Amino acid sequence: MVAFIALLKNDAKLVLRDWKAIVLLLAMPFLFICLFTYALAPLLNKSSFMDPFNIALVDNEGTVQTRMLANQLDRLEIFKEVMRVDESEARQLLHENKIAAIIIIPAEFSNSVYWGRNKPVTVIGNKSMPLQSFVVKNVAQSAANLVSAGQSAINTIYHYNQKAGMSGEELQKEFSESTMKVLMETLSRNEMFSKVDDADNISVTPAEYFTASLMVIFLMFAGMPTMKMLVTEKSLHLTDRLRVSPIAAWQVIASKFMISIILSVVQFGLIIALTSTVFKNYWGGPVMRVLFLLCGIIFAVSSWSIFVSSIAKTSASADIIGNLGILIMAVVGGSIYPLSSMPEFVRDLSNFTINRWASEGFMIIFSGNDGLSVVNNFYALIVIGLAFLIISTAILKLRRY
Amino acid sequence: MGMQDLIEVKGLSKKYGKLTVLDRLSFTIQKAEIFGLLGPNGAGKSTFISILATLCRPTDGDILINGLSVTKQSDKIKKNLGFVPQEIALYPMLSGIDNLNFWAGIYGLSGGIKKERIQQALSVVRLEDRAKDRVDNYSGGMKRRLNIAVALLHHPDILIMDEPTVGVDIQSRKYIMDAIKALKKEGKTIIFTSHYIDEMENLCDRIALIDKGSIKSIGTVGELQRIYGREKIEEILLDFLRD
Repeated sequence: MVAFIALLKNDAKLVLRDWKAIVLLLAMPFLFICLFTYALAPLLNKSSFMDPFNIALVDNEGTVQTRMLANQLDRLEIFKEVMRVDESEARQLLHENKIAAIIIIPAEFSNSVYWGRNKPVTVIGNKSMPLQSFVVKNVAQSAANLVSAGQSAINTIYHYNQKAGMSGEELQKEFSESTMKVLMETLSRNEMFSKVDDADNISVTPAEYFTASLMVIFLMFAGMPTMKMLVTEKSLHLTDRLRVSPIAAWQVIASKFMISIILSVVQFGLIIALTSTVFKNYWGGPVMRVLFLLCGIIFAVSSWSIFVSSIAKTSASADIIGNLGILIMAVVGGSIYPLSSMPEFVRDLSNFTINRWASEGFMIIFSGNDGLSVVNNFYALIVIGLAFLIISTAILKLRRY
Repeated sequence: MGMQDLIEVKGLSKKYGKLTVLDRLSFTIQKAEIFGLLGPNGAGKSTFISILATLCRPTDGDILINGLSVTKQSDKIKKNLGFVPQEIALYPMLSGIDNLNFWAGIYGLSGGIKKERIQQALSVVRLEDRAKDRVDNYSGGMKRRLNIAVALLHHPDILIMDEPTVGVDIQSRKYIMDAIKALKKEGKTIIFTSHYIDEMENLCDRIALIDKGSIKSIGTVGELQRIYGREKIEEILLDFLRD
């Protein structure tokens, strides 16, 4: 025990010697969370990464129906302003890049829809704003699909009434009523959709999102100093001397493991204190759930650092392997860019990263949804950690640590 | 194994693939003797030292230290073994005394005994005045001396020294030689390798001449001179190199 305490004290002393690096290691996560939250939160608050833009509407009909249609466009959040102008003025605006697209409603549009001879709505896109033009085209296409669906419904009603024996004025009256009803609903189509929140969905604030994503990266960095110590000891020939001493190889690794855990816990505690004070992050879930997840993450992260030190031969190669590994896991695991926006193969690959399970676990905690559990996240982290430890042990044995 | 034999090497072989580094070595080392291993580069000296220090396992054979096997009972042997590696194995960013404190702790020493042992070790290698300085501010010779001091802290009966004087200035070399002689007087058994033949002649009770993984001869300086008909050990070594 005396020997192990000596080892632990020495490792702590060596880590604390570089106190500037430790202060940076502990302070950087909070600074990064602040930076990301203030800089990128507006992007997360929106449903897309596209700023609202202007379009022009040329209403060549000018009836109540087309004005209703224009009002619907006004209500779409993606349009900053729907400018009511004539066609030449609209083309001028397009030429000056002040609008992303022009929607032209032809004269007699409502009447043509009424009689099933749909006059086409024209969309002219701005070449320099292809994404926005594409969105406008899709809005128009979606409206056209709704009109077609309405017309099919009217036809069905008409033929049903006819087969049922209706004729003459009665049939015409039913037709007019159904046409009016469907037309009005089509034109005020927002009422056809209702917004429902998924009870199982994870809902977090931008600060909580970035805390969850970045905390994992920085917890991984917290394992780096001890990881480098193992490599440095190797390069300073201290490992051979330790192997000749009565101390066991597992004790040397366990000591580094413990220092790594202490650093991670301190870092985690600081992040909890600062983010809950400054950003009011929700840490109010069951304490056991937080501890459960933290244990899983720290185990996985510490195993990762031991893994890096087992494959690196020098301190410089440990830095490169460690930093690259953290970066790759951060990208693949969704810490840099949301996984939901990634291709499927990346999402599949993310299952093998610490970041994916740790970030998701934190977001479950932040969501305050007691119906969601972090048990799967904990097990996934333990499995990843065990895999790193088994591989590290095999490599260290092969190299006769 | 004779009454005074402390170490018994029995048919020791080490192979790396098809390369035989040590070929069925068998000899004994007596208690309280300074036993030198002399041979050209690549003769197998460091491999033998590594096996003796429990750092690597033999392909065949064994070494018994006080009747304990280095392959099967290394944990018991380590407590009684002091190892001075060829490379400086110290924390350069720590002071001399911090290094000694750490290694004393590793060998289970604490409290007053630890302090006493550290002072003794510093005194043997004559580094008392510079104990509080950082090791990376030491000269090469001072680092070598501290490297030896670390191995003395737990008062081992056996000291394994792999070229402890390599690249050292005259003054430090003298201090190291004096330290080794003092340790012999205390009854320590020292296994010693060096490229400096005069050191071997002056210090060693017996010398094993090793070449291409085999022991060519073992004996006192006088015995080796008689066997090979040469006045100097250096000439014997040169004969090996010519062959």
